Amino acid sequence: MNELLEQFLVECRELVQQATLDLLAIESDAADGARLDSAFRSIHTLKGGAGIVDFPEMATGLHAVEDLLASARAGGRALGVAEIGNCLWALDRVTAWLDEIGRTGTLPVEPGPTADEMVRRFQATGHDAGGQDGSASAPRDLLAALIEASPQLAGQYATGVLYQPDPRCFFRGDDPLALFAGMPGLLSLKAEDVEPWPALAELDAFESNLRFAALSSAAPQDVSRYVAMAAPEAGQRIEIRALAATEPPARPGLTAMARRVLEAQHALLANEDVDGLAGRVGAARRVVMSIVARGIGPHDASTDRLERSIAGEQRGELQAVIGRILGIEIQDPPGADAPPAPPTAPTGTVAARSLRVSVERIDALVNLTGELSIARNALAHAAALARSGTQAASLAVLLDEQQTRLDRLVGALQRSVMSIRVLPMRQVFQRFPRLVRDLAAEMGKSVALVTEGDDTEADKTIVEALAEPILHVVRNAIDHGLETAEERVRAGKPPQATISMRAAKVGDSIAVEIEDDGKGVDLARVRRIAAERGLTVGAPITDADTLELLFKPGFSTAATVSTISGRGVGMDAVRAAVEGLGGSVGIETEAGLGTLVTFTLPYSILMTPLITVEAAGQIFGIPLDKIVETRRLARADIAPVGKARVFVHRGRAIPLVNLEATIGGTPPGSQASDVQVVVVMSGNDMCGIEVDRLGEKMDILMRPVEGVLAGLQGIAGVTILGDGRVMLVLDLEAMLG
Amino acid sequence: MSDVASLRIMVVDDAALVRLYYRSVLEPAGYVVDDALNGLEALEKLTGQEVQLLIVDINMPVMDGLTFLRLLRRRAEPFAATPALVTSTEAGPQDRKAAEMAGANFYACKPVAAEDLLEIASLLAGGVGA
Repeated sequence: MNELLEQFLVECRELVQQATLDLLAIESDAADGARLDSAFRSIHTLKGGAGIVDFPEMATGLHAVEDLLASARAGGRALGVAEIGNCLWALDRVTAWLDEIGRTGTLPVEPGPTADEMVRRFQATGHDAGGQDGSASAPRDLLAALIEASPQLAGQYATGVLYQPDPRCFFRGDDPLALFAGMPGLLSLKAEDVEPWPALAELDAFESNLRFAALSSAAPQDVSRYVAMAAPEAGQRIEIRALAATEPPARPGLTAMARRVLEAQHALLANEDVDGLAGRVGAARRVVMSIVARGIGPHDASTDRLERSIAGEQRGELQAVIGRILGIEIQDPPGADAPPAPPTAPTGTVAARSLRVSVERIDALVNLTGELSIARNALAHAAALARSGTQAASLAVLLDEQQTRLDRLVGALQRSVMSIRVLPMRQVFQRFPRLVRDLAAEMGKSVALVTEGDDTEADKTIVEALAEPILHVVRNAIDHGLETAEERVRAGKPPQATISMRAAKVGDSIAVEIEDDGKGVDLARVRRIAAERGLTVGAPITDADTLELLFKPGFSTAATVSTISGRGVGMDAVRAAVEGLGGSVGIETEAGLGTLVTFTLPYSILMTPLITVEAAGQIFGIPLDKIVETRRLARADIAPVGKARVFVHRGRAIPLVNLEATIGGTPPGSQASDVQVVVVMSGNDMCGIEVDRLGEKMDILMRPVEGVLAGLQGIAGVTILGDGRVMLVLDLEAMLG
Repeated sequence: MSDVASLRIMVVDDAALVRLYYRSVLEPAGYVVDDALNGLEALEKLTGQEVQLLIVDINMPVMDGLTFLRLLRRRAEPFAATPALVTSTEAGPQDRKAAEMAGANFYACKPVAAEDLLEIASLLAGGVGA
């Protein structure tokens, strides 16, 4: 795929996303003009992009969408639900095209029918909206047709007029034909029917079914002055356009574009504002010189002489020169003293920049490389000192210093590299407004989505992998958790349900919460179903344990399994996915009030901070986040309970685990009077791990266990230590579970 | 007649696709193309290397194109007199007028067709163009 098309894909996806969010926001708050502007801009830019990559069908289709948004914007009219639906539908078509481009690397083969359908849909919408927009596409064609049919008038007309009178205009005393009859400089008039004429018997002779196009030799501002006077009520139904065709044929050598550029310089020079005057005059002079240098000036002036004269000219003289080149007198355009339109500040939500790295982050890396090379040079210096016979002690001081420095730099480098892989949760959250809307509609429920902490960042892998689990929870919530509006009203709740998605950074982890205000999990039914399926054995179980049953493979409490939450993939799959990323998932529920699902995931999955321990001559790593504390324990304080051993830790009896026994060896009979214990916690379970010696704290890149070690229980992964030894990292969940 | 190869054009636009597009049109014609993502960045870059043409988008984050142009025109020569083509997605006459008031030498509605872009560039910046 070529670079242009690749960039097109990236940008279009962002724009589609932005437009979708804006449209959904408009749907919930029809008066949100800023969102309408934003949606319009996104669609407009999408259309522009389609033009750049030469994908006319997409441009045509989007033009129809854009027209609708433009008319709503201009008319201050709220978009209807059906219209928003159509826009979303069109964006789906665009996404399908983008997917195809992504797949094939080329523009879609047969996009025509889809584009045609887009245009048709929006034409239909236009009629529904009451056709109050005078700039609808059909009348434009009428003016084009008139111009095409009037070649003899070329060069005479300055203004085109399009008018589609209100069907009831006759009752207000309007006479469209009289309006045109009195129009200054009228050259030609054309009329056509708006709707096909009905049978004569059904014809309402008092309704206008016509639209008009006219050409006038008068200037646009004269025509609009006349219209404002003669038919003020025509308002938006009339469109007056300046036609470029009044330009006299260009002189030989002066292209139409060169003429336009020169006219623009003349207009630029007309601005007398002292602020920036010298700059503007200088810039205009350079352009005029550039054009003159191309040898397309007046025949009578030698280029050299003209160039010399231009070089010294001031504002007024320069304008006169331009006038001479163009061979016409140019009037200051009307409204030259009008204040410039205030620049519109970029608004809207921050677009996702999935694969882009901020300049700051790159700069941080560049700085680090610089510092690293300084550290390297220092090492070279140390080596030179060593060769020259410097004492080992003083050399050691130098090397220690450098090691500290390198430590810091490598740490900073790691953090910098990690930060490049970081994405905001927005990347995931922003898919949901649309999904929730569609899922809720399918289930006949009304649901509002609230997100919080969209800026919370985490490693790309984590953020991307969270999408599916969140989707599953949201589906469950809409399908099973949330009541219909009627049920909610009966229960004394607002008819619209709310799903909240929150993300926050908590220490080295990120916590993502999905909360709904539905009816909560029906614990009694969960128990009943679990009993029916033999998942529980008789004895009554606590509410917390009951919720745990939801995570059992294949569990489903829905009376009817709908297409939405699907069959088979249950909360067990969600838990497996999250735990695969080194995270955990929890669920809380309260009858009648709702359900809260919490995902806790590491900020990054690449580096695992851990403490090394030695046990039975082997080195192990224990993930730092699982360690509660380390302590020494008198052997006398260890009490045997059956085959196991327990000790009392902060008033709580917890089991003491021997590593070698756990991973399948024989526990050595140690004789020491006390033992070193690492107290760890996994979920709500705590235990002590007996070790020979505590090692150091380090961050490691954990690799999956492969080969002969793959079968070992309780090992999460391995890493190679600096001295070449292999270290096993303990999987406490599996060990304690 | 100037040699195109010595002419530099700076594209000031926040959309990467647009920058890429201008580059893909202008570079084969022999122009040297620089870019800046917004007005502020362009102002910063326009202190060392002079360029013969600016292609400036109106709507940009940090600093929009018209503010940028107004500030540029206030500076000293030679930077103040750099010819500027202002482009925008809006075809409205108010944008054209606003661009002119800010000191634009020419206004074009996006997307500018490759052929037109080359002609405009050669008219504003000099050089042979296509």
